[in-house]
Amino acid sequence: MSTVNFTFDGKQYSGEKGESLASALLRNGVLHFTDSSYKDRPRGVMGLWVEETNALVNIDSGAGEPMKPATTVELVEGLVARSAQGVGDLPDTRDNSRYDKANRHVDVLVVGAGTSGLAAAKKFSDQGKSVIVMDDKPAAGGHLVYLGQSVPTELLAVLERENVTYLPRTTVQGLYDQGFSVATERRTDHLDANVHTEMSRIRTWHIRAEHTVLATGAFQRHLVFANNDRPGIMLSHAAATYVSSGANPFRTAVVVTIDNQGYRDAIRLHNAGVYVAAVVDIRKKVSKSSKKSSRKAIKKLGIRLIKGATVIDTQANLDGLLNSVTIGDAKSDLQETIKADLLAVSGGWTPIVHLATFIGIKPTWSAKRAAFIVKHKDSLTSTTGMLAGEFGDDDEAEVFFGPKLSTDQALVAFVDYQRDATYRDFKRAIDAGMRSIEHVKRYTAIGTAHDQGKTSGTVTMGLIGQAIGKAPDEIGSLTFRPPYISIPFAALAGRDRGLLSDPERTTPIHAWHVASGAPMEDVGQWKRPWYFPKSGENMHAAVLRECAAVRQDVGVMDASTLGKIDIQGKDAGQFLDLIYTNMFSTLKVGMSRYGLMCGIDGMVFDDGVTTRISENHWLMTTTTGGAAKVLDWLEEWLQTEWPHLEVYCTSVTEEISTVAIVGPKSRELMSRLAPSLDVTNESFAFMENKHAEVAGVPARIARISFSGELAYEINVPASYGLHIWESVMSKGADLNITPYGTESMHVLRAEKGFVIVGQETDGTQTPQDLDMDWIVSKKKEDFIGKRSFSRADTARQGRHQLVGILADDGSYVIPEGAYLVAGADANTPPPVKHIGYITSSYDSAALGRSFALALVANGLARKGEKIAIPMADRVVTGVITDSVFVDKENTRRDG
Amino acid sequence: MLHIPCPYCGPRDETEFHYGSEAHVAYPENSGNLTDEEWAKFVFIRSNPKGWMAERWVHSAGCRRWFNVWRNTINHQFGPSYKPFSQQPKSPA
Amino acid sequence: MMVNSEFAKSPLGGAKYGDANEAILIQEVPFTPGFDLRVDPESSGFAAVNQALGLTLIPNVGTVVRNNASCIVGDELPAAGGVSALCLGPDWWYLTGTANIAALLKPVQELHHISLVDVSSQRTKIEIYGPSAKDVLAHYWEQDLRDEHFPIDACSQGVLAKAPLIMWHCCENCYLLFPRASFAKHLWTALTDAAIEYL
Repeated sequence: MSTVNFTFDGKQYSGEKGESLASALLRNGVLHFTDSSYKDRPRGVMGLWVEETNALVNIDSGAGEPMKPATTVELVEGLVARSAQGVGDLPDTRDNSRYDKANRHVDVLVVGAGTSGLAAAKKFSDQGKSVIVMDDKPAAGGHLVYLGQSVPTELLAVLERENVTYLPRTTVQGLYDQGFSVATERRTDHLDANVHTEMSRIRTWHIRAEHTVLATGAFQRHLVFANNDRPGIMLSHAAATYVSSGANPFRTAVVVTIDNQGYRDAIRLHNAGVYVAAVVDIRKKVSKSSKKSSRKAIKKLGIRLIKGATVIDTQANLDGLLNSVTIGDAKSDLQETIKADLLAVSGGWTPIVHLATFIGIKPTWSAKRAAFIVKHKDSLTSTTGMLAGEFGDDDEAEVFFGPKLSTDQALVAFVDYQRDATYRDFKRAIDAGMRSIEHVKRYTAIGTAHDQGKTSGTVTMGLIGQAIGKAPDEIGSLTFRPPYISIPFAALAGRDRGLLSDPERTTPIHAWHVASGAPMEDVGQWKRPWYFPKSGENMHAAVLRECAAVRQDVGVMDASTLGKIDIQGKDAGQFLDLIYTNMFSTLKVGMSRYGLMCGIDGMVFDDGVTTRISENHWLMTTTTGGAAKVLDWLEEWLQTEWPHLEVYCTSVTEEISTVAIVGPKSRELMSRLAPSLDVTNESFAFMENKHAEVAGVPARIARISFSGELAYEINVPASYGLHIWESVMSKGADLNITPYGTESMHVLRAEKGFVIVGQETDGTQTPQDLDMDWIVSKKKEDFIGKRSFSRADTARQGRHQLVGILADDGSYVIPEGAYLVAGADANTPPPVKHIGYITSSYDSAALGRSFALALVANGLARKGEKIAIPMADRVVTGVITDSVFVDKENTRRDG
Repeated sequence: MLHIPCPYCGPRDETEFHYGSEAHVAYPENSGNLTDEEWAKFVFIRSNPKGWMAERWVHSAGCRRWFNVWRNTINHQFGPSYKPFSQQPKSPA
Repeated sequence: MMVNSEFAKSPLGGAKYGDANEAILIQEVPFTPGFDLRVDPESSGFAAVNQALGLTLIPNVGTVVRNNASCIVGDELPAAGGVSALCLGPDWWYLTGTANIAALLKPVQELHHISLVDVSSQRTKIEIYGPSAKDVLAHYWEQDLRDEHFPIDACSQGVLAKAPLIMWHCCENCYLLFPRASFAKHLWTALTDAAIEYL
């Protein structure tokens, strides 16, 4: 042990490195730690570990952390702590500590390194199983450590074995179905008070265990009597442990107990030099063995025993510290006051049932132990030690939670210290008719504080039982939820923050886009260039320029993110006929066709262009966001409905990089890039594919257009994507080659009335709703979705249909999502009828004005009708139009 | 986090899978001859039992196979998983 | 795919982190050829594929059969020529190696119902080697990495740092990752971040 310096509430102290802050403060004679949350009552330390209800501190050194029980803070040089009055506060500096996660599979997880946990670890290790022992304390041994006794070496040695991993300071926070646990390991706070940036401060473990042994042990609990919260009143096991380790500010003690633990602790107090004025035992009679081990033992030491009595009330000195204890006979009105600065309370043991209840195991009540225990064993989970009711043989307790109290006494008899919830609050809940622990909890706030009822839960159930004459297990059951103790959110986030919070998917051309200063748009996980601003340009100006360049000269777009699926097999054509609404089996080799796919409900699901590479070889493209979903969909039908079809699907989304050159001058540019290719319309027609060398690499070129303009999509292995893009930029320099992003792509396609699945659709549109009846085959016997088109609801009048909208004021771009109102204008009195909404809306260079697409009830029959769009500050008027705004005759696509 | 037994890859975390609803709901062969009610039953209606249910999952991030598995909808316990068109194991109930 | 090195770029440009003599080495092995093979093990094409590749494919997901070296660090088989076949699904293999895989299987494709797709650009290869390799991977990989459950020459598909990939335990303390190209940078960030504590 070395001495270290620390600061508490601005005052310097010294203590022993590694001891708890609570212990160090007691060693320095500090008894009054803080005041209670609501009633400003002086409070001191109650317990030993995470059951601590009073002594909360804010840590200001290192990473900083609010509301830590001082009993769990390990002393390091330079520690700075502040008392917290019920509510913590975060330091206002950024926490630069590192937090991470790790996964681990193991045969057996043992939770708790007390003697029973160690014994379980030994048993499974002996069987050759891999074992992880997780224990929330700094050292193994459980209560033996507190008792100052050495842990049997044959048990400690287990932790050194090859097939055993021991993680101290590791709290299992949650236990879930199928042997899954989440634990947090505190890795640096005990080393020093610095912020660690390379070693993680807290590691969150995800453990999958074949079997989990819960050896979680037990807490001691308090009793409810008047003024049971003064500094100087402690759980007996805690008091005896502190005092025995030399942290002893006390002179005279009274011990009150319902079991033999109080005797053991009285002896420890006595041996440590505290004068034990009396042991007050609620039990009149005890068993023979108890008599021998407890009553005779204290008699030998000359300690006075008061049988069949309990503490009724306590008194304080001017500093608010305990100075005397009023004892009352349980059966008579006899009272006696004894001077004492320590009241050690042994209200019975409360086994830590949390993890068991997380997976739905119900604790059972043991009247002999006055405790809820979990005796459980199945293939996934078992319990051992005190949790399983394995107490010492002479650990017989009286089922007792506190004496009868007068109304005044009830006002200061605390059930839940952190919530300042008293017996009076509790009684009010009972008098109001509450009987369930869940109702009492919500009525009184008992169990809702920082400690989540670790000690008050059983006390409350016991008090309900006492109040209505039932045993605690007749009241209900203890139920807890993860996490077991509070943890920083940062620990749960781990490294899943900033760049690592979600993958950013990038194309092979991404670096060029970034270097050119293009802002990125998130399309699912993909980063796609949104627009390419020239210096001084805003988005609006950039998009108008890009669109104009595409319609007048030539633009270039990175289309690499489109989903692509390679489809092979002799039945592929037949399969595509079933998947798409239109016909594919008749497509000629080397040609592409646009297709629409629907769900069985007839609603549009995805779209894209599919190319017949050779007789039995096809390449499907999907939307950028739909790639994975479509592949699952194709496999679903192939594997579960039509396994007789000889078809294989392979994702090639990232194998192929696609660079689209678009606009009237794309033909000239294409011929420069691929001198061997005949680019004339006669030999390379719309929707045709050609193989040629482009800028020195083999490519498939497709004449596909998503803008209505003459366009070529150059497809190459993705490794060459950047090379093709750079070649396009250099060969097209004198043609005003203009890179454009997703925004211009959206404008250009909307001008042509092309839908985007997910923008014009939300899973409730049929092809007919999108004015795309032309793509629904009337010849095919069946395809997915066909039967649903004739359902009453899909065939009815009045469905929302795709139309164009032109605002009367062409300089106004209607916000997407805006609602449309029939025939109304600013003067129409409400109520007005909502008839649809805007799906896409842009300013158009080609039109010299704004335009929009919308879904409007019965819209196709309403073209020419006036509509209004009520906005927050005005009513915009406009007209319903056709959804195609540019080049209705498709004259531009051939150049 | 469910641990789902893929019949090809063994138990894997839920994040690798996508759910496919109730198993053994076959696509009707003669959909054109079905009444609206019969068709709507196929499209929209699933049994949604409390307790053991045979359901479909696809191991999207793994072998990409669709398969069936018994799952208890009360406590997420998994029973045997099995391949499509194979003999359905008895309900663990 | 034969790479024209004048024009080709790999997703990570051959990046390297750490060192083979230290706790961890992470490096991209650019332009590793790769093919997705689909063939029904019950079909006539299966024997033809085996014969053409000179291997006996095992149709159990997670198995690897090979006749060439797997990684740069420590392997006794020849690096040139040869094929490694990673079984990803009951009728799905990932083939990698410097043999001319496309040419070997072309005759089989003409006669049998199989699918062979060149995906050399779709995935890159990251080699992660060293005594801490397993610990680094365990930060992100939810599957069981214990040697008895994921032995040498076992492979698996899964999700690492939320990025889908193929993992192959190729030899002692050495793992090969085949992520999709679009995820490569993200994965690199994640792996090198996790490695900080071990270097």
